[in-house]
Amino acid sequence: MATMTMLVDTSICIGCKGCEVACKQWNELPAEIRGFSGHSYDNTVALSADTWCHVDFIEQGEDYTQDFRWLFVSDRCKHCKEAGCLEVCPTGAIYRTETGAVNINTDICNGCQNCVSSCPFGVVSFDHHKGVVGKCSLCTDRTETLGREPACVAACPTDSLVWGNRQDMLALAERKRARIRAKGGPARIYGRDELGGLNVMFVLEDEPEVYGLPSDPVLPQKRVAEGYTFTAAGSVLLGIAALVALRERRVGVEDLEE
Amino acid sequence: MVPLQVSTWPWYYVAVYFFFGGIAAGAYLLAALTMVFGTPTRDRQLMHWSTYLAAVLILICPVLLTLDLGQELRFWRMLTQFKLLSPVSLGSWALLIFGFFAVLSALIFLAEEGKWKIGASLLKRLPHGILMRIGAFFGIFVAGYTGVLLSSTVIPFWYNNQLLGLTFLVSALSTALAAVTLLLMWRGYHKVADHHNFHSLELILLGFEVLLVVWMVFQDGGEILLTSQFLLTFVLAVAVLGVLAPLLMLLFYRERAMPPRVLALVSILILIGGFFLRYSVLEAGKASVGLEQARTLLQLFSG
Repeated sequence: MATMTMLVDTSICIGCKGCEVACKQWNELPAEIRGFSGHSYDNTVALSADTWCHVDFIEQGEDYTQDFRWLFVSDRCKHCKEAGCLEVCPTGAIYRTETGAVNINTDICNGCQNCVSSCPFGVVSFDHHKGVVGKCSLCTDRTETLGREPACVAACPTDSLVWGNRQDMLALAERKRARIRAKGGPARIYGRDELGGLNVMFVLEDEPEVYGLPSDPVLPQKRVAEGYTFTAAGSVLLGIAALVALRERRVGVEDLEE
Repeated sequence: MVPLQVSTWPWYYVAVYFFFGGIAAGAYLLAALTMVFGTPTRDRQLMHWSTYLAAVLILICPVLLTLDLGQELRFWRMLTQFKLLSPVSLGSWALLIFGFFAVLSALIFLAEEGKWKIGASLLKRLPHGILMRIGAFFGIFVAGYTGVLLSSTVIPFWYNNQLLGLTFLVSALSTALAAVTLLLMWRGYHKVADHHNFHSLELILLGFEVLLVVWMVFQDGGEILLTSQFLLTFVLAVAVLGVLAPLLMLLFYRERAMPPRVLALVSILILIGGFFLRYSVLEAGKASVGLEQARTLLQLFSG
């Protein structure tokens, strides 16, 4: 199967949160009582084990002036090619599907939470009630089993979310970026090269950090070898130190015996 | 600002596991070092009691790790995979293998003492020196991998310090020496426990720890350890009581006999410092994410 990718065009998102609702409905995720956030018109605020899709509201400029603008981004798991959560999962519960999505088998997950601290996007979340982690599955049950698009894409009224094979989505992203730039606005594609390529790609109208995305996300496991090397080198030093101290003891004992 | 999430590992399982696992691995290393480089005949009690301590503590560790899981009954799933890039995966295997060697060594020593009868003759014929060398290798891994585990996450305070593995390893040896000293004193082997060469080793380890703790504080985000939140657990318990005080006491008694009470105090302080080092590192990682979130909210509200 070809690698499938979702393209999120932030320039035409109207912040209706239809994708959030569709995600909850299709995946039978419970509503979360979070109280009043006080942040813009967004009470969802963040992704969680029960909220796999979240439209972030970003307000820029001073209220009631020409400078003010809204930015919206429909956010979810990025299904990275180099996925920290997948690399670190010690049970094999996190796996890659045929279309490139990174999914969690909650019947295998034992809730060790290592994936939570390994996601550079802060997506993977621990469900304290179920004792397992949860995140967006890219609706693999729809896309791979039924041949349909993800629920959020189907619900999007402005086609801000588009679904297709990776090459087509890359080409579409280039066209969208060119169109925005032709109008004089800044635009960039996020997810083409980051972490080997994200299967949820974005056309952004500002810097990634403005949308809560790291400009240069890292696969933390790339530093595992470094950590082991320092530990091994240090253990050699410690060995020498112990050798000196204990040899001294042996000499001391021999002196005593003499 | 990226809304990172951090694992909600409770300190009473994870920090305690780091502490016990470190002492177990360190105690076994101490026994192996004594067997290979030291005076095994004279220090028989040290080797035996270090190994017994290692065996008991390493059996508690899997229980703590299992209790920490969201789905405790699926703990065995850890042993269905072998992933080189996953410190948890390698650590699970290392814990299993090290546990085997620690328990086996303890049984061999018990058989030698005539306190273990089942298969005693077979146990006594095993090449214990070779077994301890192999076990010690896995012991080093068990003592250090927990630090590597933390530093290979995206949590800034952990990720920025690539010496966490080494820090935990040094602390493991240091706390193990302290724990074994106390154990030997309790069993009445004062002379074995109170030898200036062990004090030399402890001094070297504490010297390493000073450097590593200073390094930790000066890493990006390390200043969180100097905030009021960690005043008691890090500044007082780790830096002052756990490292500096025993270091100064050991230096003070370097050329003179150390009274047993002082030796016991030094050992207790080192153990306190070793536990709170792990506690502080674990909680500072979590707090660093909370701090970032608070800053983000502040930015949002200030426009």
